[in-house]
Amino acid sequence: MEDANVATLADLLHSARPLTATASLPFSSGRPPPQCSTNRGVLTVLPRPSVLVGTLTLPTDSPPCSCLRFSDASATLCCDLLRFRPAALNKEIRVTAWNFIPFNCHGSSDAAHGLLEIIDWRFADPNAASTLVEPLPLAPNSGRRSGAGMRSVHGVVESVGHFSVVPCTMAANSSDLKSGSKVNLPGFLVQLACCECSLCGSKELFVGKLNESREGHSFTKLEIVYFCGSASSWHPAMTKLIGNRILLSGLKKKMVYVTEEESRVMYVTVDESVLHVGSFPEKCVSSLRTGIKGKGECGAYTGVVKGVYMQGMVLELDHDVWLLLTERLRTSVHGLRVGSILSVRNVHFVDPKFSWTKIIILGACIKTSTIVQSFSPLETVCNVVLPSTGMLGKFIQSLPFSARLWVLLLVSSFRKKFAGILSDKDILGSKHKEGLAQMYANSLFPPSVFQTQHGAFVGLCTHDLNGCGRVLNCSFLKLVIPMSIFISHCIHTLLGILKSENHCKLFHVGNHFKILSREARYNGRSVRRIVRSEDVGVILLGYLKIDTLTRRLQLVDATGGIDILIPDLPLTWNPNEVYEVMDYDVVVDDSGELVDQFEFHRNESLSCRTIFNCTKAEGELSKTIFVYCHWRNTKCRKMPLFSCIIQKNETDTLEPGSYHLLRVSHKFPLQEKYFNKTGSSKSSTFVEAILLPFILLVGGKSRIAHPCNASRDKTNEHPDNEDKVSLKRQKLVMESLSSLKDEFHTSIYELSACSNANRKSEENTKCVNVRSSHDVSCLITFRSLQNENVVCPAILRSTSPMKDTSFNSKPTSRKILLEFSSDGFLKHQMLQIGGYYIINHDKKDSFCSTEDGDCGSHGSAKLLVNSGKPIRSLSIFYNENISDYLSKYTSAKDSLSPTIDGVLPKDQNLLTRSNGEPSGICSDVCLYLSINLADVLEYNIMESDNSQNLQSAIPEGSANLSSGTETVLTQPYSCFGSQRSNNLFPEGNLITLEGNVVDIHEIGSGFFNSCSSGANLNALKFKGLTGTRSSFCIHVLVHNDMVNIFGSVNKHAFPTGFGPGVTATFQRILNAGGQNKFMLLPVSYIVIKSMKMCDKQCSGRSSLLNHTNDADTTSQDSIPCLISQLPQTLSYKQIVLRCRVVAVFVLVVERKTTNFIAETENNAEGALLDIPLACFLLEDGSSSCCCWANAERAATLLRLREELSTSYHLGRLLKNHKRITVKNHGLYIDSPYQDLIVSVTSGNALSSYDENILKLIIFNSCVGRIWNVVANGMDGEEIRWLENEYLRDTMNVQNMQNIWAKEVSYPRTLAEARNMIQELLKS
Amino acid sequence: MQQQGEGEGANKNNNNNKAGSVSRSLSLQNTHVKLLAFDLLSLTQSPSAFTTTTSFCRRGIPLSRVETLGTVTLRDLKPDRFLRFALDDGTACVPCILWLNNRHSRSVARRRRHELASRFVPLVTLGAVARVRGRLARYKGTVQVVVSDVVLERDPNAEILHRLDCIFLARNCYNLLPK
Repeated sequence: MEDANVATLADLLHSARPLTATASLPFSSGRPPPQCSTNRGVLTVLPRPSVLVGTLTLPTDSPPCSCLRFSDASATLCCDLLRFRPAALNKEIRVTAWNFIPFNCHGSSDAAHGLLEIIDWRFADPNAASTLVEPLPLAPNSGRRSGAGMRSVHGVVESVGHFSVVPCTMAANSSDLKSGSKVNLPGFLVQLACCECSLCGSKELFVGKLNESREGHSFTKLEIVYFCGSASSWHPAMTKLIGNRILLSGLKKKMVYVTEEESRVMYVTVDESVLHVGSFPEKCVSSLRTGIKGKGECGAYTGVVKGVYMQGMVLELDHDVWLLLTERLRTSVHGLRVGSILSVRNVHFVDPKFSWTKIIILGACIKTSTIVQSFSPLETVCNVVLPSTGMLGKFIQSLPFSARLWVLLLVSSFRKKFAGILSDKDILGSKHKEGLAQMYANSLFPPSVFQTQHGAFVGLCTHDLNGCGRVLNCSFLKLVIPMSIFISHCIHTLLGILKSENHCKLFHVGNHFKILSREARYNGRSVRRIVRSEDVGVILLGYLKIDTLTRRLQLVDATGGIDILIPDLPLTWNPNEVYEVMDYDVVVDDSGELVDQFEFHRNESLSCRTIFNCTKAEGELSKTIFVYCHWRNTKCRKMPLFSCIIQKNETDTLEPGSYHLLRVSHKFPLQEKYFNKTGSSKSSTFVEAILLPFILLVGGKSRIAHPCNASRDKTNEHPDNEDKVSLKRQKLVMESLSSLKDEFHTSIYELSACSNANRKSEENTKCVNVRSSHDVSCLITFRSLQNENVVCPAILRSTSPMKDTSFNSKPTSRKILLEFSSDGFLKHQMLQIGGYYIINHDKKDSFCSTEDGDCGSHGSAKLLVNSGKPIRSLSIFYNENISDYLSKYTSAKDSLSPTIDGVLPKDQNLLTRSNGEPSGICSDVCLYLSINLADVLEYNIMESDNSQNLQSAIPEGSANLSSGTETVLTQPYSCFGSQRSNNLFPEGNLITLEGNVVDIHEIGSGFFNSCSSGANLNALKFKGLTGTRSSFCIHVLVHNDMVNIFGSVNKHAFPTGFGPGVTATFQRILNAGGQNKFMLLPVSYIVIKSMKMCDKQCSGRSSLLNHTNDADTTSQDSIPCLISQLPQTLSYKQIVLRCRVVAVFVLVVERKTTNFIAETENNAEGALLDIPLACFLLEDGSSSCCCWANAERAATLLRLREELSTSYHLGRLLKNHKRITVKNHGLYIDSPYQDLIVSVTSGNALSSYDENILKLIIFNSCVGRIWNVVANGMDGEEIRWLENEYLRDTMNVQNMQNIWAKEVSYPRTLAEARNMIQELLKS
Repeated sequence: MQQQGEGEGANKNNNNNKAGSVSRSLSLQNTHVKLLAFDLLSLTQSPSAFTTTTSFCRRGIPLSRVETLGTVTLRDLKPDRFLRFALDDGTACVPCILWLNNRHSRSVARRRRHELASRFVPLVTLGAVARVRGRLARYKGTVQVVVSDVVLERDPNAEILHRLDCIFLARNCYNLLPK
């Protein structure tokens, strides 16, 4: 050792390389455990033993850093050392093993600085290493004078508080207080556990005591010693003495007031104070207690540092322990390096109970100290940070530990999510301004969460009282994570679910439900699974964007994006807003592959580490994954992404003016050549639409805004609202405006005049026959971004005279082509075939100028839709007392009264979105018309549709219910001329086809031969149709027949969510002539009608995503019960029965009057029909009962949800017969048709075919699955009336229990089985 | 004993229903009781004095309909005659029969019933887990279920839930009824 090379600090600083000189050490000593898994390199080892000789001193300068110092003749460095002995201070020591970690010193003039980690050392003078207890004066150069009032304290160092600076006035006596010089008094508090025995209590303490045994003493009384002034430099030394017995003499005793009433005795160091430390340190710090429950207990912990995040605010220790440091700790300790073994004293143990991960938080507080027990051999950087000055730091420190970690994760996520979009200042905030992260977090925390920060002394005294380690239940805090992590987390969550299930059993989605063993699956088949947001436990935050590559709507952030499907996305969304989605489903295809990846994903999960370490997603996902949510569940966060863009959103308001009414008849997909060409300016997309012979004139003077909370907050809605819509018939007031000219602008003004007249004049004198008028008064509501409905009166003007239903003439609607430029691509995406839209009427439009020309109905004009010409979706509703509202709204408009509530009718809810509309309809604009006009308008619109329609209709005779799916209609749209049979081009008719997609696979694999037959496939291969794209074969179940649709398309051309299990409409596909062979063409367009997928496959639950109710959420507060146990007088308490339908006694179906056009919006035929009443016989094995239900509940019990075709057929029946009543007069069991008596209101008898359909629906209902029916009792009067009305002739129902269904859902088999086992074990 | 034609049996059974009062034990006769197979097979059989059918009792309580769930372990299809199969619920095997002999019946209702019954045939495959409702009948001295409907259970948990249901119902309902 003596021949070792003696290095100087100046050499080290000069080289500025991290080094270690541990050659002299035996390998194991001073090393952290080798299991520290990291790919960082180890420190460069100096080849020869190298020693440093210098002096160990206390820090002299003020903070931020409170490290010990080591200096030799050449320089001074911050240092830390193992086996600290106070005796070494100010003595020359010889450092034989050390690490040197250079860093750039904060703020100081010498840029090069470093940390010297002293692993092994000894006194340069061997005699100095005596074991005697030496007195150590706390202040340098102080003579030892033991004054009269001086006190001594003997005890074990419990905790060392933070170094703090107190601004105070130094005054020699009280008269000088004001004039005294103001200084900053540095200092820190030390808590000692002292003994209260008489010996220790005596005034004079002897140094010899320190060498006495602890026996006979009980160190329980806590005393506080304030190390102030020059003694404050002892902070690093005292920290290292935690757990040691010390004796402090020469202290002053002071009385300090904690509050106005409460005082504490405290000892204060003075210049004469002396420290004695026992030479045989007996550590009495309790190690990690075994009984730690994570409820905020104070204790000590030692672990390996595995990561330092957020500028040292968070440290990851091994075994999923996360250390949250205080501001003071993280700025004052350099040695918190990855790989070192850290011992934390007086830290709070908190179990945050995060749903997504299991960790323990160590929360540092004012009492906490960190001591490095072993230095890291890894080449990791020192922790050198400046104290933060922003509001965020204070905000974080004021939170309980679990919330603190959550906020740190949030901040980290936000920085990743908005990297390059928002500056750090925007996210983190500044000294006086809240940042984005703080604003977001603030909005979630209740005010009670925040705690005030105390000063050092008050904080220490009241530490145990003020709930420093309090635990906050963080279950309400959902994570916000970068998108790249979200995607992998979803897959992982899914894997977890699959794993928990029997992963050898996976079901196919769609109509072919089968249990396939893992071996039986073959590649290329996709399986679709749903992960619910509750299972994911994460909030989605991002902005909506069309992906430039795939042209799909995505929710994106800076780390990546995920396809998103929002069926009710309004055209008014803002691409610059951040949207928050809390309630969603994640749909993953190809989980077959996932199962095979079990082994690979075992260890990966959502953890704090992955969030802090998040990087941008790499490459394209091999799996199809997308998010499904409803617009009403998204929340727009006011976080302008591009604050420079302060443009008024084009669709924010509905400008007064005139609008065309359009019906979209076909959408042309994006041309193949534009795929993968980002930012191609020429990539226009086209939509074919039918211009309806109407113009909508919107007045714009004043509007009335209603917040439409109801549509947002379904839970507040009264469950029976939909049942109670009883409309008062009112006389329609129609306004004739003979003076209206063709100039639309003038008519806008006339509109308001007309409305005035409407209010003031007698109704009947102005009432004219609608059928002869061009104009119809109506109300429109406009859904603005602020989530409120703007209501204003409008006029619907026919461009040709309204045709009476009896009058038969050619309609005047025309076909137009809407062209969407590349920036309008999203709008193209969102238009729905069959949907109604309005677009600004502009005289310059080509089709307007040719309106009177000879273009006629054959001309197809082109209209460019861009940002200057917004297009909005439209729904039409019929309301019975619209005229009443019209007059009231116009009167409100005239008075311009700010107190809207006083003017508007009380039951204005009729016009809000919640009641008047069927659920799921979310048009930008809703047009309310009098119900009297329904027939006329319907006829006119239907007329215009029929002339150009491509929509499929079902020929009555061919409908075969047992087939269970939609049928086909071929339309004579010939392609390439059908006569040239020996042409290379494929030929045939273009048709529209709807069916259930059973499977999709690429051709070219082994399936080619099985699927391809016929010469037309060869035609597909024709140049121009193939190329680099892959050829797909889609198996579609149509009309109980399997149909193959071939196409050579880009995978991205499929709409989001397309896959097995969807019911889709294939628009304009080529009937290739072969047996059930069709072809996708460049003009073909695929529309997803509904998605049926097997969710939680083991429960076999299939859900239709286009329905709003979640069948899984059975009310928790209802009591499970057997039918035989139902009391005779069932109270209004809710019960839940698990039962099956045995028979249907009564079924009343009627046509929905509120909405006829909106049906196309919702694309569910179910929306057309309403079930006001149905009565089922339910049984659960114990007995049976009569269950009355309506609407959704009835539809579910009838299984209309499961078979879309049945509701379609019902809808068709109702077109002819407005209301159908089916009563069961027969025996309810064993009789397939149960002696059903059908009556209809139309007067026309039902054909036997239609009657069979009804019977089949009822039969289907009776052979259904088990349901959970939440129900309550019924009023006796009500039962009597219903029985009298409907069940008079039905047998076996008298004296049966009657219940009213509130909710119908699938049982959660596993959970219920568990409950039942508990129940059975109890009894 | 010959396999009894389906339509005939049904009518006779219905006669019992018509006479059914609503006393609790009788209400069980109109209910598809959920019994475990071993329980089902050990029902007391007593030939009816007035008809050729057999009446079934459990602890003195008459039963006529049953719901059972299990794995199809045997399948014997005689086209246009019947589908015979066995359901194993882990406690025993329940013999079931689905009549398919009314295809050419003169009665429209029976033809229709045949049509519906034939829809159940493809569901009953070996290894499938099926939930079956039907009437109790006797064949060769043992209980046989004359199937009225079949529902496939895709949920593996359904089996255990059904078994627990049976135990629960027996304890809390069937065993409590007065004889």
